[in-house]
Amino acid sequence: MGQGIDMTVNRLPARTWNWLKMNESRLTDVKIEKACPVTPVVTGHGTTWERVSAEKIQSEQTENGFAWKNLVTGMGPDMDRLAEEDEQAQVDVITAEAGADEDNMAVFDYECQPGERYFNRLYLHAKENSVLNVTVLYRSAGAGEGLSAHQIKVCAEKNAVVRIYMAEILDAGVTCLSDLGGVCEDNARVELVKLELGAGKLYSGGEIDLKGKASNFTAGIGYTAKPGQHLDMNYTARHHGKKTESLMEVSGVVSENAFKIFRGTIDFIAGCAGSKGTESEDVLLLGEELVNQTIPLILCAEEDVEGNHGASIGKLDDQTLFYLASRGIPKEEAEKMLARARVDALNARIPVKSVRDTVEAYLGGGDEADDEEEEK
Amino acid sequence: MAEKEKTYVQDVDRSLYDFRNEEKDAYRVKSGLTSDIVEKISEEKKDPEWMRIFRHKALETYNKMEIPDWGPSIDELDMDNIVTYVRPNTHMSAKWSEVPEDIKDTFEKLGIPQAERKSLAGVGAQYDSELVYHNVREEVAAQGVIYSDLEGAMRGEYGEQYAEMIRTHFMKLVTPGDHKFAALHGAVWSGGSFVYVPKGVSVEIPLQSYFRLNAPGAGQFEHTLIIVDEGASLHFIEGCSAPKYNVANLHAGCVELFVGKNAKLRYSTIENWSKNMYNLNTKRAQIAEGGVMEWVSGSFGSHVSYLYPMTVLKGDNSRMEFTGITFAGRGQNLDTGAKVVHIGKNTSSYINTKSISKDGGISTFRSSVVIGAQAKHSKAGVSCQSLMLDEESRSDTIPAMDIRTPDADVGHEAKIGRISDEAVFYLMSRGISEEDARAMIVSGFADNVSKELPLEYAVEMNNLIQLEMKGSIG
Repeated sequence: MGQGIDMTVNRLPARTWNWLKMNESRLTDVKIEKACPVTPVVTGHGTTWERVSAEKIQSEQTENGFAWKNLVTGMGPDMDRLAEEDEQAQVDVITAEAGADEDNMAVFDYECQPGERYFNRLYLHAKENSVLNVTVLYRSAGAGEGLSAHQIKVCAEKNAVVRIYMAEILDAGVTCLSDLGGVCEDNARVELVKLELGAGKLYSGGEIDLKGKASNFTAGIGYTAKPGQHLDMNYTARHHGKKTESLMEVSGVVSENAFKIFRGTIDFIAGCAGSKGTESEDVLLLGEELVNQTIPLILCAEEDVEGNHGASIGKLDDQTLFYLASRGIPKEEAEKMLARARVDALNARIPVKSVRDTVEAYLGGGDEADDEEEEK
Repeated sequence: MAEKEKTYVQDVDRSLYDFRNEEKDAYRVKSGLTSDIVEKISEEKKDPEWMRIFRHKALETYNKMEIPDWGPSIDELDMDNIVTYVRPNTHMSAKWSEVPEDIKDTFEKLGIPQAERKSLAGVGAQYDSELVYHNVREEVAAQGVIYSDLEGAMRGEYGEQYAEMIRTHFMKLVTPGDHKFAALHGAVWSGGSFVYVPKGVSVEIPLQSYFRLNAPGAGQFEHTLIIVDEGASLHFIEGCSAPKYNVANLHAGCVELFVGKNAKLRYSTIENWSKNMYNLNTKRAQIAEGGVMEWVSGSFGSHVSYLYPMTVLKGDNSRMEFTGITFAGRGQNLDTGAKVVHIGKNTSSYINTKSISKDGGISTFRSSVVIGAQAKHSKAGVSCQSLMLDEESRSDTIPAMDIRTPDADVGHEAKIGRISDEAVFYLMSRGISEEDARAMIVSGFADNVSKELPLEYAVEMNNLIQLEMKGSIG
């Protein structure tokens, strides 16, 4: 591995005033050493896993012109540049063939060792008329500094469905770079459920290109910015095809001394007639000395579209607090409970029980009712 | 059978504004921007020494700063070709009869003298770089209201206390270091108005300044400074227009508004610069405890516009409301919006904008809401709606929020779309033709903003937003 590199990540698709410091984020002297060892558990007929050389897969191009290396990701090209620092890098590729079991699942459980600096690449390829389910967990084996960088690229061919469930519960000493990029062909769909819960510094981005007609992207993103934590996010739905749809629902909590920025963009490219895009962010603010930055963009070069975004930022409203107080729940507990509810709702959507339980344990407190349900 | 009328939303009818007068200016500086030119302007203006030094420092700042790396391109604006000072062949007067015929005709065509007679408490009219007319009603002046040219007031012509007031307020809110064109303004500013409303005085009818740029290839850099003292109130109207030339014109004005404790200021603007104009204007208001700031802003003209009135809610319980409409037609790239900074406790702000893009016009709504750590119990709302009238146009929304206290309540909503088929269908089911239904919807879209504009401006508004509702959209 060479020297660390300086990176510019999470660029806002359309710049605004520089004094706001929202246009992009800069990282200096970023070094990677190796990939975090992982052996995925793949279940279900028609779904395969292979580990291939990055050099090989980056040089490939399909007959219809698709190439992994051309996929744009949310954090931007500097993540590709960082990945190239590992000359021996390999890529995990999960492929779902047409007719693969609908309830297939590939589970990647990355357990990061303290002091290590990882970069992992995972490519998901859902062929025509297939369904591909993937659950990814990033966690730390112990307390300590380190880097967990990862990049997921998605290709959803015609009529394919890709469901990605991601939970990040890394130690506070770790810096996490979490990058996602994908493309949807005709009538394909990408569904993302993502929990950003750990890491002292988190930079996370996602961009889905809705290239095909009637393709669809939904994202449910939950975060908790804990005291001292730094969360920097950038998600884009790019509507190229006609009648495409996107829905990004983001919900989170920003605590005392925490910093959080969420950039969310719906980009209607000329020609995407009949498309709809919606983005919303609901932020609960708890504690002093916090910074919450929200910048939701709609870029529109097409007349026949519907674009909506909304944001609601603040503390719990008095009515809710009064209601809970009348049930004997004091303010602090009510805040804790409702903050937790935002994350729990998304965690409940992760289909892999062991991952759900790990997240529960990280958050504190198990879910016995859930266990009983699972046993039945 | 009568031929079916085409539905088409017309561009703003500019014939009223596009007339030109022969250039009879008495003096103009060379084009471009140098220390000598700044010195020459300072001499022309008979600046006090502090202002002369200020101008040169601003020029230094200008030379160090970069052009914005965001927003519409201004690459075609070449400062070497812009004349920064053009003195018309007249002096400022308080009587329309003393204004030269061609200049008077200009303002009469724009309806300014008539409006003054009917419904304004005072009028200032600037032609190129100089005010040519300034007058305030006697009963308003008797209340102690100062409405004058800024330069005269700066030189102490209306009392030393006002000269001192200007020295302590001029470009303190918008500093030359703010951005490159604020620095440019600081170096070459010329003309503009000064308003002081004393404590407890309520100016019942509006004051108005109108800015007309006639000279091709020129810049206009007027400075408006308004101080509304404790418990006072004022409605100030600003209008601007220019004929169209084939060379770029530049407007880099600056507006600084100081709203005192429990005072109220409404600042209404109808901007209708010609489509060769680069409108790089800066407006900012600072509001003391319990003060109220209301902005009403209509942007219809210019080739390129960067316009985001900013409000600093410094005092506790202060509030602001911004209502804006932007209409971007062919060849226009209008980047407009608002900024607000909450510093005081219990402050509130509401930004409500509408934009329409047609014929390849580009409209961008850009805003920022910053709530500081001390601004406990503050509330902010932002609502922006954009209407695309054809597939050649473009409409972007870029709203930023930076919240640094948990005791804040911030809401934001934005919508972009075209005319709803369901709404058209509903109106058609009531017997209205499709064309008329579409026309009504567009009209209604603009209406809730235009109704906030002062009645006194109705005539100009009617000329400006000629949304021809006959014919079809898209």
